Amino acid sequence: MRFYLALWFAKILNFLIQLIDKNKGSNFSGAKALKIDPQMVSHFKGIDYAKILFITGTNGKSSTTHLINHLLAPYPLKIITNLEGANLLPGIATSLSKAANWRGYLDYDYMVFETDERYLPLIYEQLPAEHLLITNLQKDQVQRNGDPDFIVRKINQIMNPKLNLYLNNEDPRSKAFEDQGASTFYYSVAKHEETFRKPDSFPSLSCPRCAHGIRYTYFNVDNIGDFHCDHCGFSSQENPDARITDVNFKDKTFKKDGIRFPMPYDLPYMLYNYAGALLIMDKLFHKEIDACVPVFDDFKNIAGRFEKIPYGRKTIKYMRIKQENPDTLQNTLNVIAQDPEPKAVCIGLYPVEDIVPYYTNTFYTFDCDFGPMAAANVEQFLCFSPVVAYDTANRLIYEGVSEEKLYIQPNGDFDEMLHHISEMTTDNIYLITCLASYDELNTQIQEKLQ
Amino acid sequence: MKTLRLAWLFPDNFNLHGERGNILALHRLCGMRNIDLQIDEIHLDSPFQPDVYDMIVMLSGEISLFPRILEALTPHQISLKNYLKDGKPMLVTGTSVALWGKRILREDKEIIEGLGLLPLEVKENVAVYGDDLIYQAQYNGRSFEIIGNQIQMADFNYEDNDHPFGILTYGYGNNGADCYEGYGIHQGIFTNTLGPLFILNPWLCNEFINVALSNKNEETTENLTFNIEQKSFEEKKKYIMGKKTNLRPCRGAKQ
Repeated sequence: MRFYLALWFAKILNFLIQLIDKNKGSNFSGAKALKIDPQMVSHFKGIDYAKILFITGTNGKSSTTHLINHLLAPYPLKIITNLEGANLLPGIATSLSKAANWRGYLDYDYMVFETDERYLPLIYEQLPAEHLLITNLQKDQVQRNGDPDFIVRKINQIMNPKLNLYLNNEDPRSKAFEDQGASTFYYSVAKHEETFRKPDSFPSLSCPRCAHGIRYTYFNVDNIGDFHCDHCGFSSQENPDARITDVNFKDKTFKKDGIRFPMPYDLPYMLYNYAGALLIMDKLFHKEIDACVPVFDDFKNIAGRFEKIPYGRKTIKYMRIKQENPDTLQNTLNVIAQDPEPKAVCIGLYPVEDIVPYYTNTFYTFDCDFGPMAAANVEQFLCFSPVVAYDTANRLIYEGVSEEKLYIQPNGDFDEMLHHISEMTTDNIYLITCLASYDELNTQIQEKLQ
Repeated sequence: MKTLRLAWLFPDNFNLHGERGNILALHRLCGMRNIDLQIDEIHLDSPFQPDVYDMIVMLSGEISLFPRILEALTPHQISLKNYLKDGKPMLVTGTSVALWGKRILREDKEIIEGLGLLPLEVKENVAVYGDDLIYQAQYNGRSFEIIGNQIQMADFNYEDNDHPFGILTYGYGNNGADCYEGYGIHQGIFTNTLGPLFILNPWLCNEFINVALSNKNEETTENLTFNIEQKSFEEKKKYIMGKKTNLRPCRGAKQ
């Protein structure tokens, strides 16, 4: 009876939220309903666990979930998903309450859920999916997640012989789960023109099997690339099940099995999302890969390589970084380093103000290689955030940037920052900051331009 | 030119939280002082003789790797004890400090016996605690105000509080209860501080180098200026002492 009360309450809330704002409520009704029946998700009826896919990992789970849904759209399939991005148990409960009838029955062909990696065991306990795609397991949000092993242990809790695994072939931590499922499929991205290496002064990674150092032949994304362990032989598969090749950033295309695909977002990390989605289309949904080609063309998800904001004669190019996440920062640095033109780089790292206590973490910047960017014809660096602007400047000094090239603006005032940008000799301005700071700056620019 | 030899223990294993920055700071400061810093990376299969080094550094790492690292370090237990006893400088940061204590109780009840060089019992926590740190530290007979961050995966309970590395002004420190931060034994620094510690506090890094030099009867110096780091310290201290916190003891201005 509790389940029915919870379900009906959720349905009523869903209806009311729809009346107010159709874009809201991806989490709310589920959160309230779980208070009535904490095991609500396990009580839905008509569920075939063999038809549920969870997508988890540090980076790319949202984009991969969106792409899989997009690729499935042309088929007459009933898909239950959480595209609004609520990837904890309440988000799943909300999606199921919307899809179920009043008696709690679910009529569907597949469920495709993005699931938060830290809360995966809690979700799995109530909804034991038989398919799991792991995008990658990296250093991220250390105030919540601590170290990558903290997440590895969470995922280990759900490993069992019924689980079919879809793993990133070039991420050692993800690939190390390969022997723990009913079947394992690998997705991969071949070396391409934006593949990079890091100087030897950067430590590597412990082999998840034997703890000796992993050696990377190259990186496609920070800490993701063709790898091997000289000690125990653990390595990327030579013949993964899905591999993206012939990446052409100029034409914005790539190939899989010789078939040319359009590349809607030309970022190295997106290539892994493409590979993962195509692997799922092939191995889980058994769809013809060439049928996916035209669907790729109109895939709309997140921003492209960078947002361009015209500001007077200047063009400000913004690439999103996530604070406490060295991979997104490294990706941005790599893109800037490839531009040989004179430029200025504005960096706004902020205190991490996610949960109380807020804190002044900038240490993740030392996991990144600033060298190629610092040497890429940068005329001036502007460090503009409050509290940690001096730490940002210091990080650049450690990369050999002279103090004369640094302008430190510790008050974080955007007016002052824009004034300084106006006076720069170059019109080619790069902006590295988090999304909230970018949004605020962009609003000020638009107001100034009106 | 003076030369210092540094052993960087298990860099591929213990390198969380941008901690390689400590090595960069040592390198930079040695460069500023015209000292040739020779860095030997000690890996699981490397030969290792602690007494040939002037400085030893082990940075923050995951507990899951401790059994394998202990296998490699246990044969050197006595040499490491003697290294510390000889007053040579050692820096160990973050969760890796646990490995030098007596035992670690993991969340899943597994017990890992440590090297036993510190009077320390460690209990892994279910949740992570991340925050800033400010404390007053004593090192080589001098007092330093230190700033940094910590990502605490465990509570560190020392059998005595006679040798804390620092007394907290703000932060969780060893266990969120006793207002002590880390442990100091001879010239060894065992601390929860990340940031990296030597990047944010180059004055301490400089003293660490001084200790290594005095052990070789070389001239030491305090005449280095760190304007950017000093300004960073002031900005952040202001922020930290005024921020909202759930800490009970050691909560800075709100105490």
